[in-house]
Amino acid sequence: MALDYWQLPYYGLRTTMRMFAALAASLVFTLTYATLAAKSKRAEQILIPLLDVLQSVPILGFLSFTVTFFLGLFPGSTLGAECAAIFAIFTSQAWNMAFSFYQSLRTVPKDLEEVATGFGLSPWQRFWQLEAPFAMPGLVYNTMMSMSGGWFFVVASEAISVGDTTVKLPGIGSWLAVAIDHKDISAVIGAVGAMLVIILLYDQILFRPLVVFSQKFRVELSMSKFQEQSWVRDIFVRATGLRRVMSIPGKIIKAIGLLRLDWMGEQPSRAAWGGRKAAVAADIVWYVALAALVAWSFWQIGGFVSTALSWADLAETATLTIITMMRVVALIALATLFWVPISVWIGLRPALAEKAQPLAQFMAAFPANVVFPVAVIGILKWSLTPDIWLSFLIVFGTQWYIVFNVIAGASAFPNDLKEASENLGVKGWIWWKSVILPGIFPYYVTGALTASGGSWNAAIVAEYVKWGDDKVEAHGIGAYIAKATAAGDYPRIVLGVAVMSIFVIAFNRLFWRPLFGFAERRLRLM
Amino acid sequence: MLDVEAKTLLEVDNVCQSYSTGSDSPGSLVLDHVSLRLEQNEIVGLLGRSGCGKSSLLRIVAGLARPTAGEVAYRGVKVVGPLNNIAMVFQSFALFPWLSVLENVELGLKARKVSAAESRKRALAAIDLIGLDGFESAYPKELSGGMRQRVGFARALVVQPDILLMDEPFSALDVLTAETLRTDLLDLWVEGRMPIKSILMVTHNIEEAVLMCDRIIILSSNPGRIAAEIKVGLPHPGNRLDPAFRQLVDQIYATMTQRTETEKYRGKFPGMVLGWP
Ligand SMILES: Nc1ncnc2c1ncn2[C@@H]1O[C@H](COP(=O)(O)OP(=O)(O)OP(=O)(O)O)[C@@H](O)[C@H]1O
Ligand SMILES: [Mg+2]
Repeated sequence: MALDYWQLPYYGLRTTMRMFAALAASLVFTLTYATLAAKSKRAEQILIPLLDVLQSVPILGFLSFTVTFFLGLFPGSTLGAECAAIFAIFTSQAWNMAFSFYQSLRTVPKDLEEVATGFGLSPWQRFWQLEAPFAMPGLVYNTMMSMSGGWFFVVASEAISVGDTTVKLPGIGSWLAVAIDHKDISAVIGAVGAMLVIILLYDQILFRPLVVFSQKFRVELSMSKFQEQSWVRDIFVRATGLRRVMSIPGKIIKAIGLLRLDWMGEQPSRAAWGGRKAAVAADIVWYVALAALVAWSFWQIGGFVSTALSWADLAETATLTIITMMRVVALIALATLFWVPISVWIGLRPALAEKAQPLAQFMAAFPANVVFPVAVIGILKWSLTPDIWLSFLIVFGTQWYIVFNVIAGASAFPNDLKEASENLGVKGWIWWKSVILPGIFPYYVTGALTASGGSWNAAIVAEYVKWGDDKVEAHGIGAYIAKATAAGDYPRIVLGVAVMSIFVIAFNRLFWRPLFGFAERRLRLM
Repeated sequence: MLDVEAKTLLEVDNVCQSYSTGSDSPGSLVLDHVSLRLEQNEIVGLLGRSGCGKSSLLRIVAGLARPTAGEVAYRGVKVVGPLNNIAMVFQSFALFPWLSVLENVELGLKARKVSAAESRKRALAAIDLIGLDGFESAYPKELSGGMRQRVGFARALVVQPDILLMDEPFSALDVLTAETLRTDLLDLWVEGRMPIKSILMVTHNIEEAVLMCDRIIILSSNPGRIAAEIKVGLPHPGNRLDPAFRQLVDQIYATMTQRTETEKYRGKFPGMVLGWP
């Protein structure tokens, strides 16, 4: 692959196509997986915990496996590599989309369900007339967030070398990899510029119109209260010709949604699972089978890893994971201290928030790994300590999730509460502690959780970065996995990824989950 | 003259308010040269149709909003921001859902740097006074509407304001609860158990206004002007069956609907301005 600037738009297009292929796959996955989980209790018991685990696992660590798997599936063709890249993006998007959709389906208001039953809607009609529209705002919002997160993965997954196998798919990510190999700073800047243009186009042509469109469905979601604007949507709404063309797919979808399709059969209702005793027995069988499966996979992993590695390796990976965890925690904390006051300040000023919000969303979509080389050059030039300075790259791309969620929270803060606190003369520290921080906390947790998940992934590419032959590396599990991947050392990759995953899952369970629960229980506005 | 000065707590002088909608034009006038006085030991009611600017006026008095023209003076000093001596009860209660009843009531005291022990004592006393004994550690979510509004009252009373502003404080409650709360408040007022010197309240309920107020100010709409001022002169608490009470209610009702009629005609036949002063 040559660094020919005329090719850049083409590479950008290829990268974007990969994004959309993955998005299509994610949507199909969401509609089937989440619907199945919501309709069948039995399926729910396995699908939802699985989703929960998948959601918190750092996907980039698995890249080496998926690449070898897909390359093996299509030997001698780039199709395997394409599939691997698309799969990587898919895994970064699908889980939280499915989760959101599942949750919406489970919370369809009872009275609306009764109306649907009263009108005798078939399951297919009920899905399109009631359940899908109800779940729409959450799905649209999560799809947009997933798309934003996806740019990071598309860049990371286009150029991969596992041991001797090197894959470079035509795209911005590969361009960047080549530029790094050649120490070509202007090519890096070219990639940054190309990415800026792509994200800007994506933002204006797809993201903004979607945001405006989804306002129609919004009941109460973050980002509310803004009158979002989109010139693209305005064109479509104003130009009658365009509107007519665009209404055709709408009409088709409407017609499909009204078909009865009774042959699809009545879904078993959630309650109809035989007697109580039978259900308990089935549950036991089910859980035993699940436990056996989990034990078996641990056995497999253990067996595979223990042929080459010892307990000392396990201790090493655990230590490194703790170091990375401290890094993630410290940086999220730093980003919080820095951004929360600023975001609150912005959020309470509607005119300012309206301008800052799209900017923060734009920044969140921009793949931070494109600017990593620039940071590396800086670190090399001033011989800075990688253990400290590489850490900043971890939150470089993810801090924006905190920013725009807190802005959304502050601007959604109810006006009467604002006035009440003013009337009582609440100011200073008491105001932060008793008024605004509890008010934005649910929004903050959402943002920080997303940022934390993104940061774990970023650690895998941020702790071990190259510039030509120069390597800058920080201590941590990310660097461990990255080096093992480069060397094609499978036992180490498996061990590293497994330990890291366990830590992340535990961290989410023991820290974010309780915080989330607390925010839901105590801090929700009535 | 000096005596009058001393008795006047609050003076609203030719206040105008307009809201600009979006970035264009100054926007339509909501309040047009409104002037009124609040004396010591009186309850003043604000009546008027929806959207005539009652809440806006109350916000301006509370120092929560700035008028586009005119000024508000508290004891002769211009109001430029929220004052410690003016407390407000909100129509929507505006309780902080993450603070317990006690913490909600204590918040204003903490903001005034009252010591922890002292503010605890005063908050408990206020909760007791308003009849919420035993609910100190409950959260607003767990309370009924009437109880929430009681917390709203306690929160306003505990800071011992001179002036209490109330924006439709009973309208979110059912008839019976509203009646109870109203009677409780009036009892406290008549017995002088609250340090409050004057109350300015917004309401949509004419009977409520006649029942509670010493003076009623009727605002016309579009733009909001003072259309009439009526002295009530009935004893508190009033008796709904008293013929004088009924007569006053009817009179106010007539005044308000009459205003509406003329407004309607003015709108319909721009040429036919009725020759009223
Ligand atoms: N912050 C604001 N921005 C723009 N317009 C406002 C604002 N607050 C009030 N208005 C407008 O001012 C007018 C008066 O509003 P206000 O809330 O004072 O009426 P009100 O008399 O209290 O009505 P209601 O009896 O329904 O409570 C309304 O037309 C309203 O649309
Ligand atoms: Mg009002």
